[in-house]
Amino acid sequence: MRVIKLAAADGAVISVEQDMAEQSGTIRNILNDVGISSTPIPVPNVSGPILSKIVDYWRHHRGDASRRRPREPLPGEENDSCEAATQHAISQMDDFDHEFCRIDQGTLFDIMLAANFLDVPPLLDLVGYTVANKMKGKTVAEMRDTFQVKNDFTPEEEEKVLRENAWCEDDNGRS
Amino acid sequence: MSNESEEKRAKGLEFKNVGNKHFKAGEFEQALKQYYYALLHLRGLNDNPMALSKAKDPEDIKEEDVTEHDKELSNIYSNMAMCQMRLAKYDRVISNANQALKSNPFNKKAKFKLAQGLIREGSVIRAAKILDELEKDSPDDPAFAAERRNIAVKDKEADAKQRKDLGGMFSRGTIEK
Repeated sequence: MRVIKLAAADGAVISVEQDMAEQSGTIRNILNDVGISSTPIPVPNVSGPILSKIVDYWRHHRGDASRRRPREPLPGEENDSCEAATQHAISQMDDFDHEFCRIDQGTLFDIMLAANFLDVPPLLDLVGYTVANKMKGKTVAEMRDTFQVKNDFTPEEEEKVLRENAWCEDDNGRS
Repeated sequence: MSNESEEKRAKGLEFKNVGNKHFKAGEFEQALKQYYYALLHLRGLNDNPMALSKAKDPEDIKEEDVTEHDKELSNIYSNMAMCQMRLAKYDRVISNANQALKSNPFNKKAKFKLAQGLIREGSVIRAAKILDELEKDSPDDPAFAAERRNIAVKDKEADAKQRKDLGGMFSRGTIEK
């Protein structure tokens, strides 16, 4: 099994076996088009620790060959149905995955960005699902606080948006 | 943008320039490698996790909303599609062209590459639609006319094949009574 080297943002070089690294669409494409070279593939937008975590994820899931191919469009995805996609993503998550996400928020977001950058759809789904769950049951103010989002609405805009979206909140303004 | 980001951006653009040189020299695989390295440095510079969840409906985006950064990414993908064309890897042409259009739905070069890739893969109807769109803006472009001829050739081939496959269909086999 061939070994690929990845160079993280901080200069750390991590060796990964090809079957593990090919869970990343980005890396798969590079290997297909350009082949394996002795110099490491630079991933300057991912730090060493985050890359290590992602390699752990790859190691656990390396047996699943479907993750080394571009994902097939899911039934219902053509109709823009998120239901089927969400159900499918949840069905793919195991105990390791849930444990994997028991990390602080900053790391969670970094992993989300890295999963997007490296094109690892199941990991992106996993993290997205985790973040979405964190949003459940929160008021707008609580969400702003948790996710550190600045309020950039004018009072009029804010009023309008709250009015338009009142249908999806319960009586206490919770999602 | 922070110093670190500025550095990455500069590196990314350098890789792109080297890629362009390789392309001009006809060294398409080398060019691809440089373009990949450019993307690895340029992608993710402007990322904000909340932006990932915003579903970008192509209908909603206006041309003036596309950032310079996204235009740059789109051009790199579109250059990659050109390399793939010269390497005759038509499925990759379609992939790269689609990636280019994700970053900048108004990238005409990328649209044209998509059409070319689709024609060679046999999806002539979709390709014709794209050419229709492109021809509205540049009706006399000889490149479009050339691809129309390619479509006509593919149509003829498909027709001939169909005749061969279906010919005599009703006289084949016997029905069990």
